[in-house]
Amino acid sequence: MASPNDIKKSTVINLNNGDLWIVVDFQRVSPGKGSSFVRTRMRNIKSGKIMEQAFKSAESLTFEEVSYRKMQFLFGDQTGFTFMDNGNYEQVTLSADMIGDDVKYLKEGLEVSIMLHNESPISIELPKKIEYIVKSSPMAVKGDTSGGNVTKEVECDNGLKVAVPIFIKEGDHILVNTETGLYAERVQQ
Amino acid sequence: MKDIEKVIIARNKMYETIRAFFAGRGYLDVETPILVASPDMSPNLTPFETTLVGADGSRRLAGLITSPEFSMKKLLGLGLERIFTITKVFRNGDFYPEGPSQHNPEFVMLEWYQQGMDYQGGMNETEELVRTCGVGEKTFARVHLPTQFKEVTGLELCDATEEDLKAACKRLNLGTDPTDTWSDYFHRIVVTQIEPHLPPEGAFLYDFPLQQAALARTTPDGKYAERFELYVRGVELCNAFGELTDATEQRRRFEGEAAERVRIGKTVYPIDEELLRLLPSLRQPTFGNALGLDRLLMLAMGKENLEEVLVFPAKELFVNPKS
Repeated sequence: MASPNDIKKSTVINLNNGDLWIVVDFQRVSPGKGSSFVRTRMRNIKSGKIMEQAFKSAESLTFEEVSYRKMQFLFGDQTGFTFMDNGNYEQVTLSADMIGDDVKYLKEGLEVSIMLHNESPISIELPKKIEYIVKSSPMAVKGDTSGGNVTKEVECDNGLKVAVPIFIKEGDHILVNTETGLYAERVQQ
Repeated sequence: MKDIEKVIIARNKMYETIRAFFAGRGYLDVETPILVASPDMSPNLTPFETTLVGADGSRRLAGLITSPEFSMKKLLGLGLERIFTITKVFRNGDFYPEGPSQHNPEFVMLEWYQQGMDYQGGMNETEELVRTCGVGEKTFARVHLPTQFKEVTGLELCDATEEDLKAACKRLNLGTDPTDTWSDYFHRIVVTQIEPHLPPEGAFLYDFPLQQAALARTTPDGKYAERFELYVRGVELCNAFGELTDATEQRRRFEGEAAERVRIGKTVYPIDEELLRLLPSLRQPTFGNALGLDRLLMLAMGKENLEEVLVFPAKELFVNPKS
């Protein structure tokens, strides 16, 4: 048995004996008067349905064991997103629901961890930082100075748009933090 | 990396703005004790406990305040009409060593009180203050909690029994737990069905069930407690009351809370008799609001996590000390 306080992103919760939900996002809330809760946004592993639940800190939950396998992203099409194990060339295809918002970070050749439950893929986990090449960058902009940092928006080689410091130029290699969605640093070539 | 100087400057400016705001409205800036004999009675809060040791070796149970409310109300009872304070407050048992959190065990609270103002007037004043501090682009929505609750569940909140709420949770596919109380069912619904759907640019949620506001007076129809909360971008910023001034009723509620604290094995502090003695001297209505300033600063600076505006977050002090 596990406590709702142990919920993390990608935790797989077994509700009502066999209904499996993967945590997409969570937030701890303490109403002024009352128990504290963990508000949890979850995706059903079978149906892809999204639901929000509040778990009371004091209740107990069942978490499922999952395993991970490193695979490389090949391509995405109508049937879904296909990844390959470089060791044995085995391929798996995940649906758009399983990938969710992470789809914008995918690029050909990217190595990700495929999350498996009973040998079936259920989700992906991205590297914390991913390297991209800046494809197009507006020249000679004054930049957005709100918030104190001078930034501009650039487009990366896979179409990802991200705000970067103004010294970044086309062709630069940059690291983007996939947890925050923010520019992290420039990679020296 | 947070820019420490930037955070400190922004906090300085915000406090200046707040002090000027209240000075312009005739409020007095007051100081209240942090170390007290009766910190809090609320069953869900856990004050930091300590012992006051006398020079003669005598020992007295003491605690750190979870809010300056009791001292503030005593000042009102002594005849002050408009007061505010910016103070550190402390809450134990809410600390998560890992993961994102909007809590730090010690945080800065702004509390203010005005005798003669009702809670609707208090909503207007709160909105002006928050916007003066640079949070909120549009007018804040005003959402009547019982109306919203009825829309979601079909239930009249003031008449809903524990069984009604449990059935509503089932209908809404919300998980329940055998240990759930009326308050737990209520919060499961509010936390998942109402709070997340409030307009992100700012919304007041007002009129709470009577059992959810130990220090509030009731609405004129007697059905709800005059209480409101303000949410901006999903963050709960404040908790405000039309204050209860009936000492007999207040004693009854304190005793109920004390009994609940005994039941769940929490320290029971003595009832603050000085507060009860002075409470009837408050005028009706009296408005009071408690607003978390770290959270306000976080929103004003466009940050997502509380730690980004804390120079010394507890997580770094206790879990990941920077060597």
